[in-house]
Amino acid sequence: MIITLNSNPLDISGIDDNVNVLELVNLVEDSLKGSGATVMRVVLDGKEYSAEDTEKLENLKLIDYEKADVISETAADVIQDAFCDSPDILIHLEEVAKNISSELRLGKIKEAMEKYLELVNGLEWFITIINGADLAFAKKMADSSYENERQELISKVKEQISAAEAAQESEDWVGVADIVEYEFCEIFNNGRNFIAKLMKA
Amino acid sequence: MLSDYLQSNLNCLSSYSGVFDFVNKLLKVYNSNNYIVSEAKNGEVTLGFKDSSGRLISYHSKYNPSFEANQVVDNLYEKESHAVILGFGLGYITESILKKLPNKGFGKQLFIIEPDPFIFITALKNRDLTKLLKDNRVEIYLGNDVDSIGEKWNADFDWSVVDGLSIIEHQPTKTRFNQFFSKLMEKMRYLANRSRGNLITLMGVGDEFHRNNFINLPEAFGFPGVERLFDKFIDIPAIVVAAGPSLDKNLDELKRVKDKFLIIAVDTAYRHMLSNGIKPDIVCAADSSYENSLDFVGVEDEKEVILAGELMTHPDIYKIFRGPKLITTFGGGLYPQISNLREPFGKLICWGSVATMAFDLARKTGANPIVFIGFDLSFSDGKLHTKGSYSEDILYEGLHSFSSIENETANYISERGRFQFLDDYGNVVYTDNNMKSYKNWFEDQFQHTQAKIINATEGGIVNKYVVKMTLSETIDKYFDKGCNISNILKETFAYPVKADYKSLYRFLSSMKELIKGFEKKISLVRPIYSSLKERVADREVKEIKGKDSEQLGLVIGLHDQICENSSIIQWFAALNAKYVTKHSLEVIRLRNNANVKIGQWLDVANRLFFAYENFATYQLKLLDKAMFDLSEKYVKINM
Repeated sequence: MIITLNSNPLDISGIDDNVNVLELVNLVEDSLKGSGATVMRVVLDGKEYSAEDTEKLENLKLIDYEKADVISETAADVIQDAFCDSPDILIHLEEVAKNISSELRLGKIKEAMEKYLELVNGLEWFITIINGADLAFAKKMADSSYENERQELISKVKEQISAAEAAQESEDWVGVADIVEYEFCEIFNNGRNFIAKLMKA
Repeated sequence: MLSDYLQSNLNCLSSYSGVFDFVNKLLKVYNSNNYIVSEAKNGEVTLGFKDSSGRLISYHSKYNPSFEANQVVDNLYEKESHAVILGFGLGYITESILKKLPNKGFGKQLFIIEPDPFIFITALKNRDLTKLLKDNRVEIYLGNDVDSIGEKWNADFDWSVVDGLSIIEHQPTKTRFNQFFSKLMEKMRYLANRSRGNLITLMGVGDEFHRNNFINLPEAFGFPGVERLFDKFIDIPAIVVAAGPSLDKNLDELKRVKDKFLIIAVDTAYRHMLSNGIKPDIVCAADSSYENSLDFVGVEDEKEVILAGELMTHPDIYKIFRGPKLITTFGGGLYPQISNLREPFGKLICWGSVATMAFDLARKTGANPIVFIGFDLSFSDGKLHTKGSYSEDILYEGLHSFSSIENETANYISERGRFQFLDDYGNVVYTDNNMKSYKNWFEDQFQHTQAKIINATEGGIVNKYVVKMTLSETIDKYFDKGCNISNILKETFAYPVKADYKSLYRFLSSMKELIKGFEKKISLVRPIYSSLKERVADREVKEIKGKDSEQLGLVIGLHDQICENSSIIQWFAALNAKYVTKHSLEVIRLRNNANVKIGQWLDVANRLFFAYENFATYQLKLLDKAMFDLSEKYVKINM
């Protein structure tokens, strides 16, 4: 069988019938200590498995596969990947926001609140990747204009999440709808522009 | 930029008389502290309301209120002909829907209900609502009294021309007044079912109602109105005698309170009472059918009982009844046109069962408590009615050698008795759709009646908002509240009836001329219709000019004149409600169709003309007979 790390051949001895995939992942993880990289996933004969799916990986015998490619990434890689995926995600979150606001204005509070959780999770993900921008784009983030813009975005997200929570507590559903439709959507739009600038520059 | 638009809005509001007066009163105490008006991001006015706990609720978007309103309307309105808006706010939803609501030209189509009148005043002060207020399709109800709003809406709402009803809730208003709106919706659903029932009844028997009006008019115009009895029996007990099977349980008890309590009977219980030696003080008759008049056959010699009837009551009843007579009105028929020609009739509610009329009469006399007997509204003890009513006679007529009255009764109950209830004794009783509707109606009325309501039927299914007692217990408890009933009733007939027969004759004569006038115009327009049909039927209105356009204007103009004459249409609809309803819907569809052909309009007009001619033939005969009887009896007219 062939074992690779990020498509580069790995020479590992001592693989017998009893070795499972999780043991391979742990072995590679140990060898990456200090490099800033971490194992993200394993591709076994073309099928991808998350490194966090430890239970599944424990039940897979390495000997059953012809090829195992261990994929590792640094934090910067992860953030960069997220930035690449972000335009689609932010567009999706904008649509969710508009649906929520429409339902709130029509009095469909329950339906709106069920989707609201997705929106809040999306905003938290957004803050995480924006916060990690200096990991993935260290040079560019040294420019103070980018840093100011980033801080503005983060501050606005926190401010509007608080405002939405306050409106929710007062059962001011039109107020919540306004924040979701206008403020959050503006944040997502500004976020897309910021990310596009960072990735272009 | 915020400015005060109040004066110009009030000028337009003056056409909504009740609302205008109400608003003017409230302006004196208006305090804007809790009504936070501000400028939205797009420059429009927006509103927040601060409740008693200091919580601020946004009434409209702080960014784009009109866009928000359009979103709501786009989602909730599907081109229905009528709409109810629950919560006015600053008027954005109303404005949005008025742009889409078709203009039918048949009266009110958009009903605005605002439970907080100060919100409405805030809107008047801060936005230009003149266009909205001038729109004839709009009606406004302010305040949070479910019953009066419900009844006003029901009176304003013309079911005969409805092609869908949209209910649009303004969410922030609903958040504040959730319970009010729930009760109002329940009331409106109930009234809607009732009104549709009335419309269906009218479609079925409108002809009888209308005909009876004219036959009874010459005689009944001179009867004292039941209004003479209003408030004459304050806090005196009244007993409403209905004709349910349980009447036999306690009818005899009435002898104890003859001339002590006011006794009002329905027509179907009348013969049975008399055959048991009990005379009611008043017997109510409302039914227009011949069959109901049979309840007065065999008891013609009775002269001490007062008959309370309506113009639509079957004429035979007035002919054979020899006692004193009072006239009432249920508000329809000829009443709107002749009410100012004589002393007040006295308006009573009547819906479905004559017991509703008897109850409303008891209520308006001021009687308290109001006691019901024979009020089963169900098939109790395997029986349909008390003995002696014509309804029982009809059942007997169905018998043959292989059936029995018990068999016929049981079959009737098993076919019609869809609903089951438990009575006070744990027995299962059956009722049908109609009686269940009456039960709901009565219980709704009882809830809002000041007098105490006692159900002394000792059976049946009416349980809510009543006190249940036996008749004997009731009489024991309230005996001392009784008084000399016959003295009060004598005073009712002690003075002459004010009735202007000459004006009545003139009115009938003018209606006759009006009807004949339209007949003549139709005959003149017919050849024009035929010629247009041949030449331009396939074209659209906007394509024709000159003579064709003029001639089309004549035909459609005559059609519109007939439809817009409310007196004619009211009589026309009474005789042919199905056609008038169908025609209204046809016209709505044509008006909403951008590509309608001239031929389609011509056909609708032509069908109206034919129907009108049939109506005129029938109506002119009724008018001629009424005028003849009037002139014979009361009026010396120089012919």
